[in-house]
Amino acid sequence: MDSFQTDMLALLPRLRRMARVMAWEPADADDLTQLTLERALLRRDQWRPGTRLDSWMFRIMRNAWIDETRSRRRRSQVFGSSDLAELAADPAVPSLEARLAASAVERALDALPEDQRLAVALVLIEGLSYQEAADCLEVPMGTLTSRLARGRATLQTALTEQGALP
Amino acid sequence: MTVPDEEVFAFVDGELPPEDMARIEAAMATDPQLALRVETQRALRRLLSGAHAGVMGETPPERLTATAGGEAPKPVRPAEVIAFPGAKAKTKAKPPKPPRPGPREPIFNKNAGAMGRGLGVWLGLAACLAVGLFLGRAAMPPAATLTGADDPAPIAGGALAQALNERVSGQDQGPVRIGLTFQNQAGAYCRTFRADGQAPKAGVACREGRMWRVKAVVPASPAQTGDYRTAGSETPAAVLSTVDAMIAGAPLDAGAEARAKAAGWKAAKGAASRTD
Repeated sequence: MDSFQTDMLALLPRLRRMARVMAWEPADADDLTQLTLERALLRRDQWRPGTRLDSWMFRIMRNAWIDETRSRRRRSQVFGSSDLAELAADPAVPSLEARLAASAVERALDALPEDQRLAVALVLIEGLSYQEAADCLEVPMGTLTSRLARGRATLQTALTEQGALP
Repeated sequence: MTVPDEEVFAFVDGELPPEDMARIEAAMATDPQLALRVETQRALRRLLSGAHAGVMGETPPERLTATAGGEAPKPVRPAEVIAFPGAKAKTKAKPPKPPRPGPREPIFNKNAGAMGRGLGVWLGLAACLAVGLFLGRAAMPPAATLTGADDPAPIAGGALAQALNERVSGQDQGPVRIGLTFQNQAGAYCRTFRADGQAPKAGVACREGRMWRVKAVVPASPAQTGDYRTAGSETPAAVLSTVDAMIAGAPLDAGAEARAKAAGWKAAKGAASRTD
């Protein structure tokens, strides 16, 4: 194992956490994490030493997630009716059980539109700078900060209503 | 002084230039309203840092540490070069190697174009299977056994799950083909499958809740050429004997399969022996 791989291993808990922000369901999140690791290994020559490995890998993860959700959407189109798609879906849809076990903040986070959720997670959970998060999501800074602001406002309202925030 | 929300956020996130950080800091001392807004944002950050925190303390699954720490894949960048399995691959693939001497390499429909190409292409196919299609866990790992000795049977994902969900038995398209559909003794639907690629695999998966659990995977011989395939003809004997041990009644015919699919592969208890 080389230092790149050692660094990836050290990031594993955070990658899994970010995968849960994206995919929610633990099994899906770990699939996404695995895909991210595989892609990162294949593209390791594209990573510039000295830059942050975490935000580089979050970017890979986000793109992998986009690919995966697209193919899921295609799959559900094959089934036509959303009921059927739901029935035949693999465990992509968050189970009620998983939802009940989640904390208020996890539910509130999950209720955000994906754009806002990822912006919030990268900056407020993962501690990326605005610039790093914007790069990771491949959007301009202004887009990032506005997603962040909207996400924060929604979270604040939801969590205040539930008494989790003053 | 009125401080806009964006500036409060940037302050809490440490994104303001030092002089502005100091300015807000000073203003908070005399402006309880501002101090409260800052405190609310800090509380939100603290709350969020606990989101999905459980996973941070867990030992990651072995398959993830194995992937991260495993042998680095050869840097052929296959994902960009070639798409599995189709015609597009031909346009970008490297020039083919001359055909290997010795026994003729079996050629199989759509993969025919990719067969006999360079090693890089094969790595590409394998990597696409593993990387692009989420097959890695379910169909590709080398250590698959029929005994169930490897830890909990993997859940089918990606292309495999898609094929299991959607594909008609015997239909010849995509990277994964379905052989037979049947019900096991518990009434759950099971399907045999076959994934081609550098290391073809075949196996059987059964519906569990809303997932497909892979009950057995074995390496398969390369796809047969020439003869007209029937549903069972390309399923390795080892898989077929697993099927024999599991099956209740006969394999589903096309109509029953379509109904099972329309019902979301929900287990129909006792329906195994029904003849409709």
